Order: sequence, then structure tokens, then C-alpha cells
Amino acid sequence: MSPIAFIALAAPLFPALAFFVIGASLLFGAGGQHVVGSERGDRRELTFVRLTSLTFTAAVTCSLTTCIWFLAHADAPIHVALGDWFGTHGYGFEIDFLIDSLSAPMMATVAILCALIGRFSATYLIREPGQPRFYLLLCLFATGMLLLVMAGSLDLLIAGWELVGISSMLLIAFFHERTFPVRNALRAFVIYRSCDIGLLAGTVLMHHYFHSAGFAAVFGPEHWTRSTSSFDAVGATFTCLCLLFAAMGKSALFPLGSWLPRAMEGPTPSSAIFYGALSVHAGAYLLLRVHPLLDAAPVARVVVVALGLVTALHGTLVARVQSDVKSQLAYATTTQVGVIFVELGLGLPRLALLHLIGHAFVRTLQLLRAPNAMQEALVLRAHAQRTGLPANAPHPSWLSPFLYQLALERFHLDTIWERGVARPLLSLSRALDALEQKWFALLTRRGEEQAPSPPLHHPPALSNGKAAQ
Amino acid sequence: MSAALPLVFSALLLLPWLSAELAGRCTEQRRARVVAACGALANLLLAGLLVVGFYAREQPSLRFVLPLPGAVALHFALDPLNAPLLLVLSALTASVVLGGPSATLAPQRLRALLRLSALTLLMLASADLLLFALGYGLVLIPTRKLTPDPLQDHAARAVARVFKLYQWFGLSCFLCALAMLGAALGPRIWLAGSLQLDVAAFSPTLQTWVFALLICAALARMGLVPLHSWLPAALEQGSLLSIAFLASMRTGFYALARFTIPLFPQLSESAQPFLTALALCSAVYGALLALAQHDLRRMVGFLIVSQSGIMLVGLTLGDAHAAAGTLLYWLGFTVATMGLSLMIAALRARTGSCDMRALGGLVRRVPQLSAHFFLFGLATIAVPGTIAFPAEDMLIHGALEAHPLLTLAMIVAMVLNAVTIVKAFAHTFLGQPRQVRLVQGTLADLLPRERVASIALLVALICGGLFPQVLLDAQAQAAERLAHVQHESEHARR
Repeated sequence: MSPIAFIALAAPLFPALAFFVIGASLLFGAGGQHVVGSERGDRRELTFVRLTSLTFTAAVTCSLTTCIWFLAHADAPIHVALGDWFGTHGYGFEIDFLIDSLSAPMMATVAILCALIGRFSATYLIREPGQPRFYLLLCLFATGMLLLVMAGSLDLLIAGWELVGISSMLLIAFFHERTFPVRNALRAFVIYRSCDIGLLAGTVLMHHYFHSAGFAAVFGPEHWTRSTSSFDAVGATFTCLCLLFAAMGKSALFPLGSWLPRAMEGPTPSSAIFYGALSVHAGAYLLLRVHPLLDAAPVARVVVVALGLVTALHGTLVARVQSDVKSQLAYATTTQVGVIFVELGLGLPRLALLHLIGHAFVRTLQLLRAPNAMQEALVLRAHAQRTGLPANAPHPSWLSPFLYQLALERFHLDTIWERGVARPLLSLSRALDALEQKWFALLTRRGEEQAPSPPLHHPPALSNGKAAQ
Repeated sequence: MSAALPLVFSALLLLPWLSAELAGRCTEQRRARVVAACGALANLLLAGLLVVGFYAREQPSLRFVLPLPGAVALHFALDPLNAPLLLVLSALTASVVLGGPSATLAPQRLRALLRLSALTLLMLASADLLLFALGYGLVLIPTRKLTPDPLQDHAARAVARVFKLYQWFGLSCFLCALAMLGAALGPRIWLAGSLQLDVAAFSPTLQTWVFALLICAALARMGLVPLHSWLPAALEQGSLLSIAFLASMRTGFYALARFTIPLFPQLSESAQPFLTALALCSAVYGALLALAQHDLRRMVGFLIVSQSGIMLVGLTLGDAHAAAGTLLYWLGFTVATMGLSLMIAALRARTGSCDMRALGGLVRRVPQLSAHFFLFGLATIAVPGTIAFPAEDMLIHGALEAHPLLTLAMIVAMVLNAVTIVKAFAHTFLGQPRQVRLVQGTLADLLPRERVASIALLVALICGGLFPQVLLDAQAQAAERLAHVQHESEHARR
């Protein structure tokens, strides 16, 4: 293994190590019993902050070194195969990493943004009861995201993808004592999981059609934007469409983007890194990674462009009528992500990558400044009064009342999701449950008076549980 | 070491009986638990020694024969199919005895639980249909103490009746199949272990009947659709930990893998579409019903139905990858489901409720319990780093190679199960308390013994998830044999 490969592989190891250390201290130690603001609590908080800072500094060093090395040498990709994680005869889950001019800048982006957010949160979340949990999840996210961008195969990419999804869900529900963050986290998780079907199916189709899920094995050792391999058009189309479905969930494309503004319920730093910078771009990265396959699937490219356009249009219209800054930024993000998908579909992967990285940094800055928005708005208004310029942008004249209303209602996506997916599914499961209860009553020949599951039948609550333990 | 294996094997089978009797005789509950815990830990040690000794010998399988008077012999086996299961069973027994709430583990119940464990060990160790049937039938005796007391109330009486109905149906099917085999084989059925039986000489009608009866018996014990109704109801009304133990070890599935499919490979091949369809129905039906539940115990019941369906899909496809994934899935989900059940039992002991509509906001009151519940939940939704991830990966790959469309239904069931678990966690532990009286006062978090039991299971799940190849290698021969049996029959038919 070359030294640069060794350095690159160390990048995800640091946050993973920090995750295990913080996790073990929370699980095995006295965990949440430290009072926030107490001397002991402050000491513990400081330890976690230092550990995370150290971890991310190391990850940034490794990632930046890798990126600079690639920019300086512009060499052929480095493919590091560590062997099979598990498998049987004829199939193995390969642990292979692909360090190339796509993954190296993404590694640097991920590591730098995670480090910035870690540093920012040290002040922003000071003496917040869930701060250790935040750092735990940030480390898990960084590990997952670095695995995702460094993965040399779709198999390994799935592992990173899942870690990103879980940490995202848990950070949306960070303020778990409130009802809405929990509900919104659940919704985001349902959409993530539903779309994961696409990623699993795409991976399996890649194995099926191209006999491997490894990028180097399928696309060849060339530059990531081109491939000398020839692909079966049908296989490429089906695989790309499945992967696009997965990307739709993670990148909040139309019509599955209703979770994104709801995800802003989490703490601002997590909103910034997840839904402004990295997680929301994971879908775009996935399609960038399989770009040679997308090139061979014109139908899929048309679908990608169409979805990107609709998402961008939807995002820009809805963003203009939002009354809170985080929702506005969320829809502005979907607009840009939509444009990135259009670029991908049009066959401009380098532009898409540049757009992705630039957008990630700009949006992070905007979201981190979002809590100051009111203050800045007052300054702007005062400035406008002094100079005579309008403080708010006027509504565009072409935005008809109908579109305005539609944008206010966010194109009824929530209602469509509710009525088209969630409610029918729950109705079906409740109907089956009722059928099950009837069957049970029939078996016991007692009819309705002896339903097996009486609602809310509780024995007296045990005040401290000691008697029961 | 190898010479001592038969001795260790015998001790493993007998020790739970001894500890059950000793614990049952104790008048003081604390002493009964100490005795039971010592017995269970000693059994775990024996199981560990046995498994290490077995794999050190590098033999494909070991047979132990216990001669009885009248030229009758009982046949036991130790091979890659059951060796990891014996270890898991012993570990789960120890964790339940150590980590279960005291209120649910009175001396008589501890005795019943240890007897249940002993009989399950007997079934998993048997290489003989007769011996397996003995365990299958006798299990109903200790479970009388663990199912709802018919004298309690109407609902409990109804559940006890349904439990008996399904279990006696399964047992009757098993006994009928044995009677038919006995009539055809004569005394030979007593002489050789069932694994050596050659049933190919039987008439096709007899073979079909015996096969169908064995399938029915297995489905009833596994709780597969349409023979599943006893499982969620018994978990809700009976002893949660013991019924979860009975169901999650999936002895019915073991009967299929050990006896039914190897004895009737051609019939298994012919019945494959039917069995796969049934398994998929179970997987999706169980997942849909689990989503609708408000009671955590019923939810676990339907999750077990769904998981059993997914496992049966993997078994019936006859693909080596799917079979390997299935065996790994068996280990992983058994441990994770028992861990979840332990946490639910602890929750019920503290709040008196398992109803998600009444709970909520518990994470601040019982952070350790919440964290452990969530981690066991993660282990059932195939998060990387837990056994479920490699298991589902192998299963999906194998299933897709065999039948792409079926895989989609299976993935849908897996996704629904994941949503159910996360929804249950969110409703139970996060948000605002819905019925404040249930969570008021000082709720105690996990006790040290509960934490030890839970952490041991979590460590096993995470180690298995980080190093799954160790388990896959340990079960490789069994997986190959399961897939090979069905392939062979396909070639023979062609």
C-alpha cells in the first residue's frame, strides 16, 4: 500500500475511533447522570470537545494531504482492496476504497466541514444537555460520510449511506422532548428507508448485470468521468433508475423532498452540515460515482434532468414564500441540488462536482448564520431606510396568485405523501389487524366481549420499579 | 479435549434440568435467581467449551448415541448447524435469568424457564425425529406455567386456549407424521438416527403426507402465517421473556433445516414455490401488522412472524448465499429480539405498561434503558456494525440471484420492520409523556445485573457484526449442505 493510500484510509478511522470512545463512555459510564453546568459536567463536556477537535484535525490533515497530493500529481486513481469483509464462495462484500479526483476533493470537503461544525458547536451547544450525544452523532456521520465518498464499491457505499441516514434521523430528533422534531425525524427515516430499496436493488442489479459492484471493476481504471467499458443499455438504465430512486430520498428531490424543511428542527449546526452541505448531496455524489453508467443510459439521463428541473422549480417557488429563514434556506438548497442533478443528466459531471462543493460551503455558512437572521434583517432594514432601497425583494410579477397559493402550500406534497402513502399503508395494516382480532375472537368463540387485546389495560404503575426488579 | 466432548455434551443437556429443580425448590426468590443464574452461566461455559472443542476437531459433524434397553437408541448430533445455536441458546438463557425483572421470575417461573431451555437444547441437539418430537411435545408442559393463567380473566383464558389449540395442532401433525413413518419403517425407526433414514423407498403418497404434516408442525411452532395467531397474543398475555425465548429460537425452523428438507429433498423442491409464497406472505403480513400495533409485546410478536417468513424465504430458495445469510440472520435476530424483549420486560416492570400510546418521554427518566432498547432496535434493522447487516446483505444477494421479484417483497418487509422499530422507539421513549401517571415518580434506570445481561448481548451483536466471517465460516458447511440438498434434488428430477 502506498503512503498516500495509507494516509487516505486513516481519515475515516479517526472519527470512527472517537465515536466508539464517546459511545462507550455514554453507555458504560455514568452517562447522562452528570448535571449540566456542574463542574464534573463541564469537565466531561470539555473532554468531548477536545477529543472531537483532535479527531477532526487528524481527519482534515489526512483528507487535505490526499486531496493536495491528487491535485499535484493528477495520477491514476488509487484502488485499495482490503479483501472481503464477509462472504461465501462466489460472493464477497469487498472492503475496497477508490481514491481519485472525485473522492479526494469530497474527502477534503467532508472533513473540513465536519471540523468546522465541531468547532462551531463547542460554543453554540455549550451546556446543552445533549451535547455529548451531538458529538457522538457528528462522529458517526463523519465516519459514514467519509466511507460513502471513499467507497470503491456500491456495497461499501451502502454501509456509509446507512450510517449517514441513522445519524441524520437521530439529529433531527435531537430535541427529543418536543413532539414535532420526533415526528419529523420519523418521517425523514421512513423516506430514507423507503428509498434505500432503490440503493439495494441498484447494487444487486449491478452485481447481476456487470458481475461486480466495484467501481473499478465495472468502469475500469480510467478517470471517473469516462469509461472504456461497454454497458448493456437495459442493465445500465434499470440500475441507474434504482440508484436515482435512492438519491431522490437522500437529496430531497421532488416529490420526496417534504422531509427537508422539517429536518431543520435539529440544532442549527447539524442542519447546516446535513441538509445544507453533505447529507443532502449524497444522492448527487452517488450519481457522480456511477456517471459512466449514466452516460450509457439515455432514458435515465432524461429522467434525471426532468427530476432535477422540477425539483429546482419547486424549490425556488416555495423558497420565495417561506416566512422563516431555515425553511427558506432548505428550499434554496433543494433548488441548487435540482440544478446539480440537471448538470449530471446533461453530462457535465465536473461542473456538477464543482457546484456541489461550492454549494456545500456557501450553504453551511448561510445556515450557521441563520440564527442571526433577525438581527441582520433589522440592520438591513435600517440601511434600506437610510438609502431608500427596498428592504424586501418584491414578489415577481409572473408569480400568479395560483402559483403563489401553491407555493404557500408547498405544492401539497405533505398531503400527497399523507394521503397517497402513509394513510393507505396504515389503513391496510389496521384493517389486517382488525381481521386478525376477528379471527382470534372466532377461535375463542367468545365474540366481541373477549377481545384479546383490551385497549390501554395497565396494571398499577410501579413508582420506582424496585418492587418489580 | 476431544475425548471429553461427549461428557461436556451430556453435561450441557443435563445441567439445565438440575438448575431448574434446584431453583424451583428455593423458597426465597433471590436465592432461586442466584441458583438459576449460576446454573445458566455454568451451562454457557459448557456450551462455549463444546463449541470450541467441536471446531478444534475440524470434523464435519459428531454423532452421540445413547443406547437404551430393547435395542433402542437416541441419536444426538453436533455439527455446524446446531453448534452456534447451542451457544446462543445458553447465552440467552443466562441473560434472561440474570436480566429479567424479578416480578416475572418467581421460583416456579424460573424452573419453567430453565426446563424450557433444557428441552430446547434437547431439540437442537437431536439427530433423531423421535427425540425431537419428544422435546417438541414436552415443551408444552413448562409453557403451561408461562402462558396466561386461564383462571386469571377472560382475555387470558382466550389466549391460553388459542395457544393450546395451535401447539396441540402442531404436535398432532408431528405425531401423525411419526406414526406414518413408524408404520412404514417398523423397528428401524428406533435404530438409526433420522439423518440416516432412507425414505425414498416409501410410496409417493406416504412421502407427501409425512412431508406435509412435518411442514405444518414446523409452521405452527415458528408462528408462520396462517398458524401465527398464538404468538402475539401469548407474548402480550403470557410471560413475555419465556414466550419470546420459545419463539425466537425457532425450533420449527430447525426441524425444517435438520429433518424435513434433508429427508424429503425432492418434495421440498416441488413445494418450493408454495413454501416461498407462504414465507413471503408471512414476512409482509407480519411486517404490516407489526406497524399497526400499539403494544410493544404484540409488536415483537408480529416482528418474529415477519422475520421467520424472511428466514424461510432464504431457506427455500436453495441458494448457497441465501442459506448462509439465513443462518446468520437466525443467530442475529434471535439475540436482537431477545434483547428487545428484555428491555420491554424491564420497561413494563417500571411503568406497568407496554402501550406506546400511554408512554413517551422516557429517555430523560431512563436513559440507559432507552439507549439499550434503541441499540437492540438498530440490531434488528440491519445497521452496519451489527450482525443483521451482513445477514440481510447475504440474504438479499442470494434471493436476487434466485428470484429478483421475490426479493423486492422481502426488502419491503425489511423496510417496514425497520420503520416499526424506529416508530416504537420514538413513541415510547421520545416526545412528551402521554400518561404522566405512568412515568411519574423516580423511575429506576437499568440495574447493574440488567445492564450486564444487556451489554453482553449487545457486545455479541456488535462483534458478530464487525467480524461476521467467523460466524459464516462456522456455519458454512451447514449452509452449503442446505443449498446442496435442494440443488441435488433438482438435478435428480431433471
